[in-house]
Amino acid sequence: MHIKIIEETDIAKVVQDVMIAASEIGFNKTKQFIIATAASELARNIFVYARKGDIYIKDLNVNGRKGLEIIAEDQGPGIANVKLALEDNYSTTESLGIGLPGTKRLMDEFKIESEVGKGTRINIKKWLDL
Amino acid sequence: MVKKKEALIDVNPIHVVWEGILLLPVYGVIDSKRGQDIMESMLEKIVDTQSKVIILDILGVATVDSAVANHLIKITQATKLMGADCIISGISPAIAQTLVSLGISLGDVETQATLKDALENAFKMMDLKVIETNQAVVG
Repeated sequence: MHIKIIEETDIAKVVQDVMIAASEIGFNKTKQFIIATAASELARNIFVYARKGDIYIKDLNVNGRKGLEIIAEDQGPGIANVKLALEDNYSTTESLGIGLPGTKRLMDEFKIESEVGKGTRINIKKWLDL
Repeated sequence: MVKKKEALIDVNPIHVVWEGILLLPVYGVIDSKRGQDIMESMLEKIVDTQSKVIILDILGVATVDSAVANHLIKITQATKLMGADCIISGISPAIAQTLVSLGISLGDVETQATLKDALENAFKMMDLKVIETNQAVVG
């Protein structure tokens, strides 16, 4: 599933679609909420920092292990210091500065690639059996 | 036409549940516009009704990401500035776990799992007591 982030209301679409995908895989209500929050965080990051970008929602099935993967991709300004951005309470805007480190804690796997002037790609996964 | 439709969806009801006690159920996805709308309508209602305790019930929110939490914190801060106390209720297990994982502290905001508990707390704050009438008759 692919959702384009162009305006703020697209974040709501991401939340809804992730909730549905997570429930279809078999995640319980609490996990659905947690995954949707992580996805919302990534979608909002795209909207706030890169203005536009893409969210991909993928079902995972690796040797019978089920899960959900969310990829957030943008061609925005990129993150100059990824290590710093992953620290709590670091923010270049007025936000709380817990979005990225928080998202990492909410999910089982978190991968970030970012290059200044080129964009950012974040990949998060949640496994059903963990 | 589009604006009108948006306005209809965005209406956030605020209930006067008791003299001086307001209940504001927050549900769905909270974006910056809705966060601002909720804050404004609530502050106006506090003045209109001279309310002292506000219950913000968040059981129906779709997510509590850091931006939503930021809105909630700002709403409670503004309420305090107006001399009213704010209780956040509807902290489901999912919301509690998410807030802890995100590392969001709601600070000194009073929180309650259920709306029932929040209402009880609100009555206490207003020095009100609910009594069973049959008990009163016996007594």
